[in-house]
Amino acid sequence: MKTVERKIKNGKLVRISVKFNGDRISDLKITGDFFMHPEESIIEFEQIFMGKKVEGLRSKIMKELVKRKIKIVCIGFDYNDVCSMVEEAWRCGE
Amino acid sequence: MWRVITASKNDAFMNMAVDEAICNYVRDGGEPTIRFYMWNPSAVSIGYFQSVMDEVDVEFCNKNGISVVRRRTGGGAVYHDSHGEITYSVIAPQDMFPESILQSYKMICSWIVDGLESIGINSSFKPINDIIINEKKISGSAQTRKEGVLLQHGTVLYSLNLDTMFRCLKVSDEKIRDKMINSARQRVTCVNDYCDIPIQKLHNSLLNSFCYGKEWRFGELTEKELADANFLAKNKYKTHQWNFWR
Repeated sequence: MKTVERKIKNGKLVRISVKFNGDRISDLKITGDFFMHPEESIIEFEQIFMGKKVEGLRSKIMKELVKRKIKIVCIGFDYNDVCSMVEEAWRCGE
Repeated sequence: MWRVITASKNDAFMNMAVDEAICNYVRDGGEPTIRFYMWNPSAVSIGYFQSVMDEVDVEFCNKNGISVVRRRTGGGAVYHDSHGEITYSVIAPQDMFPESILQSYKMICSWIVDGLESIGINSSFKPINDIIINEKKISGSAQTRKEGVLLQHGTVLYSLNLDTMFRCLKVSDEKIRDKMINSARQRVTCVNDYCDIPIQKLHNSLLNSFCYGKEWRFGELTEKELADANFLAKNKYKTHQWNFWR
């Protein structure tokens, strides 16, 4: 697992632990002092990233959020931050 | 009519369990409730999304009788000194507050700002969830909304025990810990830094400001809430499964 930690500007601290299988995400855990409503949706939020290719990740995640009609309120970070951190982990090598 | 439950000391597991039991009470039509409480023994609470192993020196806490509990709210790890803070919770139907989560933080935090002002301390709300004095944090809050019920809980720091605070937090290097303490001293403050008052006076000030303009009565937990809380403390908040799920 590769871990990337980031204090989001005007936001919260987010830490991701991510594992890749080839160029796809095979495992992802997001922790930190952020807020997400409802809290339990963190599981589904993480699940959305599973199996996705790193290339073009942001648009895929946005499409998936819309497709699943998921109503998640993130406070202190957003999905773009997580995508950016996954990309950073990918660039650094697993 | 608001129900107000004044400062009681419980262990960390019971404190979190009581908040959840009150949420169930409010969900089932019970009165909105304001509660003030303290922690005995001292404890660390971590946010819902945090990893215990990343945030807390569990071994140090265990050796020193400091409990560790996961909250059902997000936010960061907090050291709750048994003599150093007052914790509040506001539990009410969600529709009594602004739909915007940030606006509802602002509303409830303004009660804290008013309470501090009444003892001569000028503070301000800093979004997302903090209250600061000259950029130093004196209070932090966290909120969740479930089944139509809003729970916001938070702390107001009365005195600081930074050494213990940072020993509870997971910092592997002593040098880093020293730096963190020095840095924290510049980022964190407490009521005692500004006025020499007994903690009871802070409690009374917060009680007055939280209740201002509301119809309210002093109350206690119902038998059902107490039974729910005992059940939740034992079967949820004390369990490894809950506390170490991330």
